[in-house]
Amino acid sequence: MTINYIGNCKHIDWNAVIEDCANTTPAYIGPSHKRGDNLPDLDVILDMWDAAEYKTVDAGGTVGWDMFLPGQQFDQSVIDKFVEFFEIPNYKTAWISRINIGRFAPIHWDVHDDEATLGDTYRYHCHIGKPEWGHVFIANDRCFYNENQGSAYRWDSRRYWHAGTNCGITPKYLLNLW
Amino acid sequence: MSSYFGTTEGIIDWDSVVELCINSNTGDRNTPLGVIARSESEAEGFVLDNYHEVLGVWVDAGYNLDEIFWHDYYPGHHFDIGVQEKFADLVNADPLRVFVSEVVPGRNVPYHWDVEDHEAEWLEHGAIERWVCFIDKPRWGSVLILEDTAFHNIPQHKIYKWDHYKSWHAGTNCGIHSQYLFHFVGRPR
Repeated sequence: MTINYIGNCKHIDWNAVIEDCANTTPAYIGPSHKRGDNLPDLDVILDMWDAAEYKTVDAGGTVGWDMFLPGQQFDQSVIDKFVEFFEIPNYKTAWISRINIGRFAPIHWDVHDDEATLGDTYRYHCHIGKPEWGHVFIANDRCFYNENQGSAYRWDSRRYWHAGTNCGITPKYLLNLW
Repeated sequence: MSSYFGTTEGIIDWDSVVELCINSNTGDRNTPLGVIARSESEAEGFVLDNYHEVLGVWVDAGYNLDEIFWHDYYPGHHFDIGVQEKFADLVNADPLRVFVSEVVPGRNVPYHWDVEDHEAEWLEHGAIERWVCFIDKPRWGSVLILEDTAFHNIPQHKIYKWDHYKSWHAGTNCGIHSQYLFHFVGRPR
């Protein structure tokens, strides 16, 4: 159960990537799955959220995050450069998540549409924004805070529990890939 | 910033304090609009300006103030006053304001510093210092941010002394248990 720092991809102009995302509409707003989707382990997460009385923004709560996809809201070349720099072969999916102020991605792991047939794999995340007050990301038992822009980490499993929250005054952006 | 001060292990039974707070329905429910109303009816001068400064940060950032709330619990009312006395002896300070804060899952108490209505009066009698104690067992997702440090998974009983009682801080909770912290603002003996 480890998450390791793998380097800093400062050669990518992350400020421009964030600018692209900030100036467009997200692909969609998470969470994308709901009760009844019949995906393995999804109900475990939803049961936890219900017990803790989490509600999505649509339902009057604070749970919600914006999703940006390569080749749609930001340039595919960003991901190409990232996987080349860190020598990541055969990635399956990549996205940028944004948590706006006062919003939450509560404790969860990313259950995929094809979860029943997918195996486990490494996962990567990169702190693409400058360190900003109140931007919190937790994965496994580690709390990431004030990370340098471009800092990237590899998880031993894409199924690690994680969460994000923003009690600061600017939106929080994170690149995710597995 | 802050510095590690020590531990209450073997001195204070925090589990029973947390339990009392969990089961209490009389804790102070604080909201920004409630704080504004109270400050405008009771505070004046620079104290009122301070309230407006802090809340102005939230308004300018675009927070929906209706979404923000937290609870406070007090010694001698919600839990035994003896807890405050033991802690005061430990940090060697006389209490000025002491409370347990609660932030429930899915809620933030955003970037702020605690405006004290009686600050000027307190300062006439000497310096003010502040300590925080992690009174619950480590709870995944319960985070205290104090200046540039995020406290997460801190062992129960650990005490940290703030560099300044007016330091900017925030509480946020993306886990499944409420977050309980003991705050002690006091005057060194």
